[in-house]
Amino acid sequence: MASYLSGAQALVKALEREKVEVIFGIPGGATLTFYDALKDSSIRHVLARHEQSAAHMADGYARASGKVGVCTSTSGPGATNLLTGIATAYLDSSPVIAITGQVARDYIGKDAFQEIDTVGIFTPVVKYAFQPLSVSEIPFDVKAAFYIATTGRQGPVLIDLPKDVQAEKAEIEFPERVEIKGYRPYVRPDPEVIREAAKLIIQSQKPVILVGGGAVKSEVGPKVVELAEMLMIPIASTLMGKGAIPENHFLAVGPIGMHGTYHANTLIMESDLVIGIGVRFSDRTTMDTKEFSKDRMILHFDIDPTEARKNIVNEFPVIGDLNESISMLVSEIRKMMPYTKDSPWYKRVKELKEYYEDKIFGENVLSPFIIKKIREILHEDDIVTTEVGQAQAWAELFYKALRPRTFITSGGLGTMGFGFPAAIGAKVAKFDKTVVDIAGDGSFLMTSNSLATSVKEGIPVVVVILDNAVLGMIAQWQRLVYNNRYIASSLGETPNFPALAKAYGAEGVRVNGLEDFEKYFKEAVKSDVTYVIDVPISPEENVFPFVPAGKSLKEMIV
Amino acid sequence: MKRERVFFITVADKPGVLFKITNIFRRRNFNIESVTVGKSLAKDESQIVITINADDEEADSFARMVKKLIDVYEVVEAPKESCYTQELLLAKLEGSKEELREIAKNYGAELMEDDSLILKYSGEPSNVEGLVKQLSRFKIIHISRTGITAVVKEDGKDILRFGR
Repeated sequence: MASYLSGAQALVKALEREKVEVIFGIPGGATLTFYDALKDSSIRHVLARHEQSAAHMADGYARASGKVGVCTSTSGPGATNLLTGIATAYLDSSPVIAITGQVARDYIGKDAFQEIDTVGIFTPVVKYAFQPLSVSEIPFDVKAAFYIATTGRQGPVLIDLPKDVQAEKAEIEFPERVEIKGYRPYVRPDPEVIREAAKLIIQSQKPVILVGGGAVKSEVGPKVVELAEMLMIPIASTLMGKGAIPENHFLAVGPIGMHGTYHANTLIMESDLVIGIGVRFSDRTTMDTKEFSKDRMILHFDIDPTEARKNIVNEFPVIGDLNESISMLVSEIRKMMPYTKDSPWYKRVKELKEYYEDKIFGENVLSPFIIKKIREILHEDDIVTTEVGQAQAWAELFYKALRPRTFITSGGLGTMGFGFPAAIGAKVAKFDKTVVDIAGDGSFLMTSNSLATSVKEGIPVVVVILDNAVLGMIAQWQRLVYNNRYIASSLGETPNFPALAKAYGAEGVRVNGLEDFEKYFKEAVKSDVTYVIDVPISPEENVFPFVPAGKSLKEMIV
Repeated sequence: MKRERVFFITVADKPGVLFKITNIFRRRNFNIESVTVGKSLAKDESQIVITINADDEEADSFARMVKKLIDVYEVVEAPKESCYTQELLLAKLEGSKEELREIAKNYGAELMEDDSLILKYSGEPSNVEGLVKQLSRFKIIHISRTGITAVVKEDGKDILRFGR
């Protein structure tokens, strides 16, 4: 059915047809027509205070809900500000649609006011970039954008819409489905390869399962648990894989990597087989890649063929939909001899886990206890986001994620300032859940103006600032790797965070120690406005275990 | 082992596709030795032929990264030895016609004698190199080389094929 619409109206209608409920953004000269059409729509608009935060909000919304997050900015500086947020989504394979305004067609490429080559600068950090140059292209491009963002290995897609195309009118038809030549997101696992993989698992003596972000997104967790229980083998995760399986499971050993748990890092280096599921073996996970793959086989289940042998050259890749692959693997292994509870490997797992699980390394540390307290108080389907740096690493180590999509962090790009706006986005997606941003004082200041959004739009979240008055991870490296030569890592005791929160109409408190924290955190969880809890900690606190860059997972500093 | 590789990339015939492909090589700091683009038989499709110097691992990784691009339909990668390669040279020259006729005859090149002297030659890239050296004794007004185009001689195990 065709209707006579402007480009802006066609865009809004196409978004409605994709069941978009909310858009995070900031209007500008090149999106005024789009916003004018948005006024007649039931789609909610959440006004950000910086485009980077708008993108993080859309990303947080996507990660918490599994739906597409939509963000928008104007051309030029709006688009370049959005870029960091979109790159963050790209590195963590998050389905985000970015709609940017563009100058009118005749002005593109002529350095017009607020004109930048948006498609050019976004291309390396999106799955695809569309620039509809006529109204009639809009319905196909929007439908295709959603299809591309949500299928296969997910990721962000850009729609860059010139101002005059937004205004132009035409008879518009909306397609029910789109076919994109050259895009085959579905990969059926090869049964022969699965059989081969099953054989490798059965032949191994000391296998470890390693789940990543792909296991969270595909919700393959229950099948992974079935596999682990059948073989009585441990399940470790990457930072992005937290929550894929409940971390309180008796076979869960927590994350491996630069800030992995002592027992998980040890087990992986003692293993003779790693079963990677939806992981990409990033450098922060494997550390020294040669050491990581030296004495063991690496099996690699993933949906993205380009991940095969990308980081681990001598691995055995199994490409295909994870749910299908792992189902096939489980039924294949069932036919063969499973392990028993009495295997020496399980005993070793149990021994290490029992000894190290509750161990906290380092003296006079408060942060791990704060994180554990947050876990104790929150429900299992409440959501935690993190900033980047020490706070993120403490959350990785001490916050046990029990459900998929309840631990949201910038793992790939490591974007400081991600956690707070992502928490706002997650709260919009799951309004009945408590959402907590585990922050450092350095990261929080990068996007703290989102306080205005959270208060004005009535999106209350809790921000816990582990406040050491330094850029904590930088200080830790300068202390441990650069022989105490501190430079540019001290932030000083400014600002006064509770006062900052109150200036925006939020709640804020500075607490003193764990008991005080518990009291205010319980209050914050019930608060109707965003609540900032400033927790002073020592600038000397280190995150342990810590594997310095270039070392192997065996070489943990504790 | 580093060696010359030829990538045959079938793509959507639209703006920006070549940029996305070359950007993959650029990001990992590879110099593209040669690139040629032409329409392919199918409607709205082009074929890009790129040659680079890379080892087996790099070639495999590039082939898959290029195939991952949504506008790329097929990627075939082959070592240069497994391909029949050709390059076209056009040279506008000034100098002795007789000498040039002699060179043209030796190389099987065509000399177009109009108002100016234009030499046209197509052959193995190494022969093109050889001919260019011969031309140094003439006054070169302009030289254009197309870069390498190729076809795979026969499908062997050293040929990678992704897509379709």
